[in-house]
This record gives sequence, C-alpha cells and structure tokens, in this order.
Amino acid sequence: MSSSAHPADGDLRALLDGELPPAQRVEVEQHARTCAACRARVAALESAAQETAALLALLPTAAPDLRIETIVSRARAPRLRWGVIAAALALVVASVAGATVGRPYVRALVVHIRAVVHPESSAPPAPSPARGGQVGVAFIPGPQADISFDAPQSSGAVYVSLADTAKLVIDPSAAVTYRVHPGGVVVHNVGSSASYDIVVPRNALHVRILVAGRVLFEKAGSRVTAPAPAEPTGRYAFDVR
Amino acid sequence: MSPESFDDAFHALFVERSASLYRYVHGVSGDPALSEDIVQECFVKLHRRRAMPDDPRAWLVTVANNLLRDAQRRVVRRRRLTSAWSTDLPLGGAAPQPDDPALAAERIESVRRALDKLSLRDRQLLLLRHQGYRYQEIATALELTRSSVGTMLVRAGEAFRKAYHELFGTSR
Repeated sequence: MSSSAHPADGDLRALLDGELPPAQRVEVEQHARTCAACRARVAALESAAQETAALLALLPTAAPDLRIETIVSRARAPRLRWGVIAAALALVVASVAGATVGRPYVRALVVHIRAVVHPESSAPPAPSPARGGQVGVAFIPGPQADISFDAPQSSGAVYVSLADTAKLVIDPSAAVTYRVHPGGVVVHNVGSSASYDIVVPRNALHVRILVAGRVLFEKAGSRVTAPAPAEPTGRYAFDVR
Repeated sequence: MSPESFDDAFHALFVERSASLYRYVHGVSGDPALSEDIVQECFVKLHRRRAMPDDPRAWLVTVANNLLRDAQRRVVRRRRLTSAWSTDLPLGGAAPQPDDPALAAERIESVRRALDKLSLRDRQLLLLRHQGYRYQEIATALELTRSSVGTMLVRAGEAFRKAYHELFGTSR
C-alpha cells in the first residue's frame, strides 16, 4: 500500500481485530491519522462489527454438560465395523441353531468373530490387564442378557466398560469356554484365574453379570449397580467372587 | 509426546474449547443434539489420534466442519436442521431479553434465519470469529489465506445484517 492509497476494508477490519501484521499495522495507522475518510470507514466498520456481535450474542449460549470420561471411554471402546455387525448377527443365528447343531459349531464361529472384533490394528492404545489375545465372544444382546460365570475364582477380575456399540464383547486373558444361548452367555470358568474385559453396549436394556448365580453387576436402562463405583475412566472393576 | 503429556494436553483443550466448539457447531447447524454429537465425536477422534495436531483448535473446527457437512447431506433429505431451531428457543442462555418475550423470540429467530440465508462459508466465518478464533485459526480451518479473512468477514457481516434487517425490520 502506498501512503496515499486507502487501505482495503479487510485490512481495516483486521486492524480493528488486532490481526494485522505489525509492519502493515504501522502503515495503516499512519495513513488513517491523516485520512478522515479512512477514519470514518474504520468507525463504520467497528459499528457494523459490534452490531453483528450483538445479534450473534442473542443465540443460545448454554452448552450441554459434556463429560470427558464419556469421550475417553468411547475413544477406547472397540470400533464398530460392518464386519462385526454381520458377524454378531451371524452369532445370534448360530446361538439359536447351536442348541441343535451343537457347541463345536458355535465355538468355531466365536473364534472367527473374535478375530473380527479384535483385529490387531484396532487394539486400544492402553490395553487393560485382561486383554490377553485369548478367544472371546461377541453378540448383540436381547432385551435381557445374562453373563453367568459358573464359579467364583480365587484370582482374576472383571472390567466392564459401557460403549456406544451394538455388541456385547467378552474378552478373557486366558482360555475359557462358553455356552451362548438366546438369553446370554454362560462362562465355564471353573479352575480359571482369567480376567475379563467386558464391553456392554450403552443402549442395552438389561445386562447382568452373575457368579455362581449371584448378581454382581446389573445395568437396567441407564442405571448401573456394581460392587464398586466406576473408575475415573468410567470402567467398573471387580473380582470374580 | 508421552501418553501422560497427551492426556494433560487433551484435558486442557477439552476444558478450554468444548463449550466454545459446541456453540460454534450449534450456531452453524441450529440443532443442539447434532451439535453435542459432533463435539463429542471431534474429541473422540482426537483422543484416538493420541497426538496433538499442530494447531489443535483449528483441527477440531476442521473435523467439526467435516462432520457437519456429512450430517447436512443427510439433513437435506429430511430438512431437520432448521426446523429444530424453533424448539430450542426457550434455551436461550445469556442473551439479553427485551421486555416483550415474544419480541425477543422473534429477534432470535430472525438471527437464526438470517444465518441460514448465508452461505455455509460466511456462517462459519462469522461464528468462528464470534467464538474468539484468531484469523490464522479460521484460515486453517476453512482453507483460506490469512490475509483474506478480514475482507471475507466484512462481506459476511454485511450479508448477515442485511438478511437480519429484511427479516426483522428496522423500525422496531
């Protein structure tokens, strides 16, 4: 800009916003000192910017109570993939058929689903102690889903996370066997010392975790009952006892 | 960046920007539920990234804009974004309230509709600046040159005020 040329409106606006680079600011200010037209233009732009700001200030300013714990929990949950959905649906069909076809068929399918649910690339950045690469199980819970452990364990823990996913996932740190049925899963854990990462869909209606018939954890709608309060990450941890 | 320092930086950014980002997205979309979902998704994506971008504030706006664009593609079919606004009027936070509540509601709705008459780019410019974003952040998020932001803000402001006065009138 030569000293006689008037600055563009955009530069004057940037001047008002404190956004002009220093050298340009000095130049524009020097010009405006001796140019009544530009001083008037600055005043008009300032008035216009204030009116715009006042109108935009009429918009609602209340923000919802966003919880960082919810975000971290969602970020760490396994990501939903179409393959997972298809596999989980297949498991629902298979679990019904399993009563007649027999457990080996269902377990073979579970092995496949485990590979789909937890491919290496989707492993969370901070694995929990339960993750051990053993065969797990995933299924879409019905109106009520019970995860029933056959027996208490002398060691091992359950880590329950709620996530915005469609499937319920059980991921043990050591091999156990399961029996999947329409009302949930029975975990044959007699003599095991495994720990279990369990991901429960946040929108699941009713999920219970039982050990030898005793209810330790229950999610009914949005209400959760657990042996201990949730950790800061939103995860529930308790022993298999 | 160590995991601990990422978590600290993430937490600080969430505290500093989540409400502001929500107000920006809400201003562009007019849909509170969609805005909440988008802001959450932005921070989920950042957390999964496990590393801070060069300009985290601009990065969040870029991700929010992409999610908004995806959502608006769906909304074109359902025309939900603009109609949601009228049900949101009673939530009007700290906005100054003229004596007549009906008049206040009319003014707010006129602001909303004036924004809707603008191009998406103009709406984004005005609302980002209104939320305190710097020119460089606006330029990065909207893929503009920094030197063009002032000019575009002037033009967007003129278009907005003109649309508002046409809707609300200047005699009141």
